[in-house]
Amino acid sequence: MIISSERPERWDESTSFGNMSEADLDRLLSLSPFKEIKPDAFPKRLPLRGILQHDTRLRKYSRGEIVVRQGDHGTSAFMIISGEVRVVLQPELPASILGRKDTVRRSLFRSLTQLWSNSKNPETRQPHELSLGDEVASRQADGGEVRVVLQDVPRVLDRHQTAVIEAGEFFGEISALGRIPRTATVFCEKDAELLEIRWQGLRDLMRHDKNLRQRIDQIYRERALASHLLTLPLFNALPPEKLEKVIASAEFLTFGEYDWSGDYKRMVKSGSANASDKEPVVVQEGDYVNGLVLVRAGFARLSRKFGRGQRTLNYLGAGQHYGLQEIAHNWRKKNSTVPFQNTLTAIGYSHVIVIPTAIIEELVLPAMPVAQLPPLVETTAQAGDSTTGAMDADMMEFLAEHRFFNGTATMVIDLDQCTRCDDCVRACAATHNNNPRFLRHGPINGNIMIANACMHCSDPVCMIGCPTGAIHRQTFEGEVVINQATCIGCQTCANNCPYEAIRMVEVRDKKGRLLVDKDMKSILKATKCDLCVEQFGGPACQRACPHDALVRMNMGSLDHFAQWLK
Amino acid sequence: MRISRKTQWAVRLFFFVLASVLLALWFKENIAALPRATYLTGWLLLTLMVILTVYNGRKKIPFLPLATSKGWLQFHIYAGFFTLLLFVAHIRFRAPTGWFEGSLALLYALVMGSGILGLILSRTFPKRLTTRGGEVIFETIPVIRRSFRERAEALALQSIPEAKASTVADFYAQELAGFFSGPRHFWQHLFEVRSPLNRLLKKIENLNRFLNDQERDVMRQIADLVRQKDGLDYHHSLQLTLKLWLFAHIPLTYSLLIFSVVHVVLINAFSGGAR
Amino acid sequence: MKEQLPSPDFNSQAYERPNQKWVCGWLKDGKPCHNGPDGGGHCGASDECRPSATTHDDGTVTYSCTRPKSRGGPCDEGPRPDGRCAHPGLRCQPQLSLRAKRGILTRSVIVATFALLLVILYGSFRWKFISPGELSTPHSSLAFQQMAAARHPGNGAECAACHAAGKSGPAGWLQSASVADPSLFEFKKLLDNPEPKTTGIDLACQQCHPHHTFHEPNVAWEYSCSACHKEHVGAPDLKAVSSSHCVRCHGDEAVMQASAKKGQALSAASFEFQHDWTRDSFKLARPKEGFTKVITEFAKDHPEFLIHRESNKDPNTLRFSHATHRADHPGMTLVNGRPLDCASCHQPGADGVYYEKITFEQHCQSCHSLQFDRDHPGLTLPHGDPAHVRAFLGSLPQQYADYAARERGITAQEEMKAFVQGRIESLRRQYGYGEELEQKIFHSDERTAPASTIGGLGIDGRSLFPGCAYCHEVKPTADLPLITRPEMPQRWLSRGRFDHSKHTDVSCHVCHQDASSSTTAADIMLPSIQVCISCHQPQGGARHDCLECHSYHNQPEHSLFKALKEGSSDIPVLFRR
Repeated sequence: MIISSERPERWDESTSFGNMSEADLDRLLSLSPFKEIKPDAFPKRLPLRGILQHDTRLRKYSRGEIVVRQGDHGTSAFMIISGEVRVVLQPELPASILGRKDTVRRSLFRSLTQLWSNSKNPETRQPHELSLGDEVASRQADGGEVRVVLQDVPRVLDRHQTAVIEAGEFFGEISALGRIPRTATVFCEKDAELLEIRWQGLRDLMRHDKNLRQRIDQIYRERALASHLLTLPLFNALPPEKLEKVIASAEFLTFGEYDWSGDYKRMVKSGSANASDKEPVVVQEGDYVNGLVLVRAGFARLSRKFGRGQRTLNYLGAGQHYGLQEIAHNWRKKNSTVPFQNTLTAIGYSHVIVIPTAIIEELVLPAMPVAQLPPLVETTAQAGDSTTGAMDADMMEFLAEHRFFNGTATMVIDLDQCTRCDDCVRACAATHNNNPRFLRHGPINGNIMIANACMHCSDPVCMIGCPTGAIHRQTFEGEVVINQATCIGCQTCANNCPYEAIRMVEVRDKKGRLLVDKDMKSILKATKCDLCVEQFGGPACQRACPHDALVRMNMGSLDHFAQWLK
Repeated sequence: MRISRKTQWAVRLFFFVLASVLLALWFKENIAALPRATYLTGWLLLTLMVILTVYNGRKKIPFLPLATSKGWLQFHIYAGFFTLLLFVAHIRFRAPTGWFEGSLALLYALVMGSGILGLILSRTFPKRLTTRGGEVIFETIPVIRRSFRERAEALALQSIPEAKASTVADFYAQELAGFFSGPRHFWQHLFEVRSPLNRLLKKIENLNRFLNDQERDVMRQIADLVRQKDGLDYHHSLQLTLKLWLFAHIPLTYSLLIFSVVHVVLINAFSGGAR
Repeated sequence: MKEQLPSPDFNSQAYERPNQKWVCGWLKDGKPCHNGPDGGGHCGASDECRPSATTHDDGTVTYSCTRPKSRGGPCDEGPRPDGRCAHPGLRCQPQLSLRAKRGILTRSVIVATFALLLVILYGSFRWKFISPGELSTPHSSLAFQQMAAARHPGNGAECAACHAAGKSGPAGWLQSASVADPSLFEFKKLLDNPEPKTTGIDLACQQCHPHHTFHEPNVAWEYSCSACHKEHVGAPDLKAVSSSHCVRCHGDEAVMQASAKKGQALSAASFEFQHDWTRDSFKLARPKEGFTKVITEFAKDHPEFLIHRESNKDPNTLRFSHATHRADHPGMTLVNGRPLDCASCHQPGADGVYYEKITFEQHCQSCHSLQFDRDHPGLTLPHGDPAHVRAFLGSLPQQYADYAARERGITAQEEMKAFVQGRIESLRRQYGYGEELEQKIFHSDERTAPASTIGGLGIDGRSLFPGCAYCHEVKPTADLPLITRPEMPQRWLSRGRFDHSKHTDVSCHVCHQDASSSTTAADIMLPSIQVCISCHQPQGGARHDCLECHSYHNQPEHSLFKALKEGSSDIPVLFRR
């Protein structure tokens, strides 16, 4: 992945992750498992010590502090240096403890009360909206980091089944590598010292240390893969013993960079966002069909050579796969096999699982009814004959450039029909205490505008790094919402969001006076579209559009969008 | 076959015309001969007008699950056209006489007329705006206009020390200062007349003969700002018009409703049961 | 300019808030403040930040800017030494947003509409204002207004004459509207199609036009005035009534049966009123069932004219043949220099509606002279009364003497005597004299008259007198013979109007097809209804509504107009039957 022979760019002063002194490093290298790792296995430009210096950092946690929250997205794994932490098994911690808010849909009457109870002033907050509750408190750790502290650890231990993770053990590595939400909450029962490893470091450690790789792969297979495969129609009919075989044969690959949101912003600023030729290739058109590619996280672009360039056919998101048609073709027509028909490239990054062709042919295809088999490959087919053929290449490129396929509820406005009446904005304000939660403006391609409204991404980069868990998903893969009480106004989410969908506002009291903290600074809160989770009937903006110009659309499936464009 | 979103209107229109014709035939057969058919059409007309007016209220309570605004508008448009049929049946194909009924009919005609105008505007202006580009939120137009003006002024002033001549600045003061200071050419934009912009650009082109390279570069940037400012005016003109037609449609609707209610009272008071 | 302009940059860090009722007054200037006005329209301008104070160990206090990053972060200048912000907010007069202005306009228009209506409806112009259209000519006449003013003193008299609500102001109208029948929300009643009974407004009509049932006495349904007559639609239209109102009953089997039943219980005399006695009408007996056949349309199911239906005969006893009186009849001469045609005898009356009666003196005499003595033209029998004929014949010598003096200029006694004697002798030889002569004159017809007189012409081309019975029915009695008087009605269709003057575009023969071949006066040469229908039908071009021939009301209203014109303030009840 890293082509340069120089040391990685991420180790530059400004982007380094580490905080350790040489003494700390020495101590670390003397601890298990690092003392077992052979430094010679690492290339010169990427030494073990360098990785630990720049890609890891020591963090001290004290009693009651939450390390990771279930459902959060994080890009780093943790190793316990000393002390121990507890992982909550079941029942799960209540939302209030995790810094979240259980959103209750308003009753009909409570909906109606908005007619007169909405504030006349912008961004007013009632005191109860901002209070944290008495189960948790926030505390500023050294270095200015804010942490949420459980106020009553014995009670939590009493009510929830927990397990202890002891010194030398890893946790959070699946979430970091696979870019999937944390599966459990971890908190400190006693003071503990943790080593936080950002995912690039973890990846490089794994790559050059066989033991670590096997260990983590094993954990991944055990904890995450089976449940994931079972969610896919292709595998969920397989008996358990065959599934196990599939799992055992699976390969995990990660392409591209995680923090593409920053990349993207830089790209847009520099003016050339068209970077499809720089995208890492997952599968090359014309190559031998070596397996079925399942996209586990991130996005991939499916394209085919056309003229002197590549014409994009579709985008694959988490849960989608590529290669089945070719494998099935070759399985049925043994004497006229075809190679991969299209090229698959990672947009930003993608985490894929590859199931070898042999396993598919042996276990999956025979179990499929003939009618469900994909059609045979027609090698004469031209690029552009796909289902999304109605959409022009320009629009495809526009969506890719801006990564709009990430959205599950992207606000798409047809400017040919939009009379700019702002009914959507007013409806939004009326359902959010007189505050609009999006800006009816955004990137335009032809007659299509993607407004600056939260798209409720399938891969929400905004959720990475929220110190208090204020930004969270309503349900599993549900709406992304921000708890105003636990939001500390750090702007991490707003800066992370590549779509400018999160805006910081200065909040006010009921009378419209700005609220300030003890330093006289205005209190900021992150705000964004919550897809009207509290309201009846879904997003008010879409229902308020008189001209059928505005829809909230799942861009993960281009077919839907192409149909709408017609 | 699924009908594309953009041709659905034709299907709807077809069914509307079909339904209207069938209804008109049914009306002619079954209702028109009734002694009090005019009362019936009148009540139906009033009911429809009230429902049509309620759309205004629906927009104020977006949080209740009261069908989509899109559905309401479609109903509004077709029911609106249907009132035209009802209205003609109600006045029995003759021009109303008398001051009161004349005013009532005039109000109806104005509301209907403004509605049709609004429909035409709503269906044609968005495409024009999109085609022209320079998409802008109406409320931010003054802010953007100011930034254009400030940038243009800065450019004009900047050229003085560079060229040691005030040609560009003088030109700006004479020809462009007014253009940048507020919305311009409202009517020309409304009717897609491009001559004001072309005139300005022509003047700039003419001036270019007398400028050195640096000044020409400045002038090129100013010309670019002129184009953008013209696009801004275009948006201002069209977006404002898209909002202004409602200034006639909505107030007159309430007048019409008030007159209609008085009309109902008068008819019942004075007809004495006449048929 | 084919390409789209780029979207201009603006501060997208903040939400646009088109929902706010007020906008910063500086927006016009392109520089709105970051706070904006509050919901009540008060300027919300404040300093860019509230600087935070730090007290140092030595007791000095320094201030630092706290402007948030979303507004550009700490400013370059920093707070002033005294701790105040270096960027104080500029206060403004907040402006209403465009939409809020629309709201105000809407409310103003609502208030203005109410105000306008109140001013007008309580003002003196109100009656003119609410009138839905011009009144018909009679009701807009000065006489009507004077009558109304006398009855209902005060404003709105004209309206009050007919409308109960016209006696009061807007409050009263509400009251009237609430007691109206059907009342305000009786929608079910609107869907009914009930018997068109007399309604409230008809009571007002009947104050001047009582007994509005002056249709057939056996009408089953009492018909409301307003059902047929539309007032307030201008001058001529009050009387323009659509056929649908007639068909409402006449096209309804049940109603017609009810009428027939009701008619049977009534005396024949009660139907007598309807003839238009101003004309000499052909009298036909009323059919037993009355006029209750179902009729929906003239061309479709209107029955044949009664006169044809009953195979009636013309009771005229005159022995007259239209066929003989044709210009092409052998031996026919010119009359007054012109060939004989219809117009030689049938002349329209002054109004052209009907034709004048045929009289012997005007139409027959010029050819059919009563010259009984062939040799003496000018000596003619008197016409009209057999008694006069007898007296004439009884004084024949005297008549000849008068003739001699008048025509021959004989004055000498002797000569006169000889002349008279000669004529009497001649008569006696030819026809006989006294009883015999009288019998011959009364009773001779084409069979018994002297052959020379039948078809014979005297001087001037006049036909010679063959005897009274040649034309008339002469019945001998013991005394004078009875000569039946020929009945010649002018109007044959007594139930429907017919106007010859409107049919002058066609020749007589188009309708009266049998006229030139008829040989007897008993023939009724009226056209059948089919002849009428050939034009009076939707395809024929001529009007075919009921009112074209019939009228609902049976008596003209001349007297009411007369009374109005004379300015009588107390309108008498004029139409009692």
